[in-house]
Amino acid sequence: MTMKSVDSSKGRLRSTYIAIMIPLGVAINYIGGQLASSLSLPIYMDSIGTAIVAAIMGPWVGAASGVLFNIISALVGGNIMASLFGICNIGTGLIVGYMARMGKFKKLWPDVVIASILVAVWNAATGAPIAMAVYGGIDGNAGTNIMIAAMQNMGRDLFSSAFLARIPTNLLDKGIACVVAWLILSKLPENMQNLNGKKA
Amino acid sequence: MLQTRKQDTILQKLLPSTKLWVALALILAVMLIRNYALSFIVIGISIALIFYEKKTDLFKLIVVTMVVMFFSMYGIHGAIAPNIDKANDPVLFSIFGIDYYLNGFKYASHYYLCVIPLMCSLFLLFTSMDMADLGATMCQMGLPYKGVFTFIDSFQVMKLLGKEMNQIRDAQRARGLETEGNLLARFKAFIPIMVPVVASSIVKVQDQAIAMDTKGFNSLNKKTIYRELIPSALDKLIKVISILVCVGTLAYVILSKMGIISPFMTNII
Repeated sequence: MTMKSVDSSKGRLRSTYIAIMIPLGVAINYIGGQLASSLSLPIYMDSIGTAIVAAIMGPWVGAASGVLFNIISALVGGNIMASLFGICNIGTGLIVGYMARMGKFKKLWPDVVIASILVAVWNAATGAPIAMAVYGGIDGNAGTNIMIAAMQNMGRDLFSSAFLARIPTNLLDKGIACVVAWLILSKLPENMQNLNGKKA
Repeated sequence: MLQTRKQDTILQKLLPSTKLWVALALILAVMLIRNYALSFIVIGISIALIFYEKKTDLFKLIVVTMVVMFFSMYGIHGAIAPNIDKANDPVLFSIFGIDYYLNGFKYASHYYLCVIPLMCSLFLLFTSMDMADLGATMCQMGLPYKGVFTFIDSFQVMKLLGKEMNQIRDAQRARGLETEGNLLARFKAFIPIMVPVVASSIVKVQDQAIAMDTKGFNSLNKKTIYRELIPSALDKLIKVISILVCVGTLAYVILSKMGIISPFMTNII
């Protein structure tokens, strides 16, 4: 007698996977941020979960995981204004998710490198105006703040400093997130690699 | 869950829906009115209640964030002061030959004294909230069950994964991993801790999906809630006051912007 395998990429079983993967993405983002903080790293590391969930489950599930993380961490930390940074995480989920769905997240070079650059630029472009609106351009990240201060001393205005300072930080931060997502995706069993909602 | 179900204090006895109204009222009042006196009152009451509720251990983490933000925001805006005309701006004080500008101080206060009262008060409200009660409240509000499950489950998974991360970090340290020292050494420590946590949690996903499906997660029958949330007189009173604060704040902001009333809640600096 042969066992009939269940297609988990569509239907109600997919919704079960979504209900598991979104909280998992939130939790991975959260502990990534906590670990970076406890190791006193000058970067955020709070989008690894978003990238993993987007790579496995598709762009919109990844985006949902990202924005839910920002809402929950804002509630837990009491900093409700920081939930606006969810816009950055939505972009991370969409970029990684669509690249994975199109089959452009299979090789470290150039796929993951391109994804990292796109995600970093998106995060810097959206993070800077949000930081301006919420914190007046300076946030709680020491690495970014030192670079902002240095650029201001060189005569740059606050907004362009806030944007440019975020580029190297995000390249490293999101680069690590994308590489970890790619590593995890490549090691998954085949039936779990086809959960990204891609139409056959 | 982030909290155990205890109902010893008045704050813990309040329903989540009441706390959500209080949170909304505080967010609107602090962000829209932007009055420093109001900010200090909210900070003072919140810190007093944090001590009363014995939440100081968790609050220490928030204090660290607040201190880092304080030095970053006041230091950079006040001393480097990118947004002001340094030639004409009054100097508040000088230290080690560095001038500290008044308008930079005002600029930093404008943002800092908006973020900090909300950090203190919302931390208190959400850490005193029973997450299962919050889930039940959200279902009663008509939100879809799967959405509520996902939201509430996130708190559970965060706690579990946090414990697992601590265990793996201790295990890796025991094997000789350096988590202190220079920046490169600390960077190197990130991956050996993070990847095992992520990998082990992903491995469990298939088993969880099967377990949830066999327990009827996808059942089309209407889901029931085994929790009865009856509002007390205090719940009702606080809810009414919160709604009045929300309406009052919006009315004040709209009327003062239209010039119908004078903005009497202006800041002193």
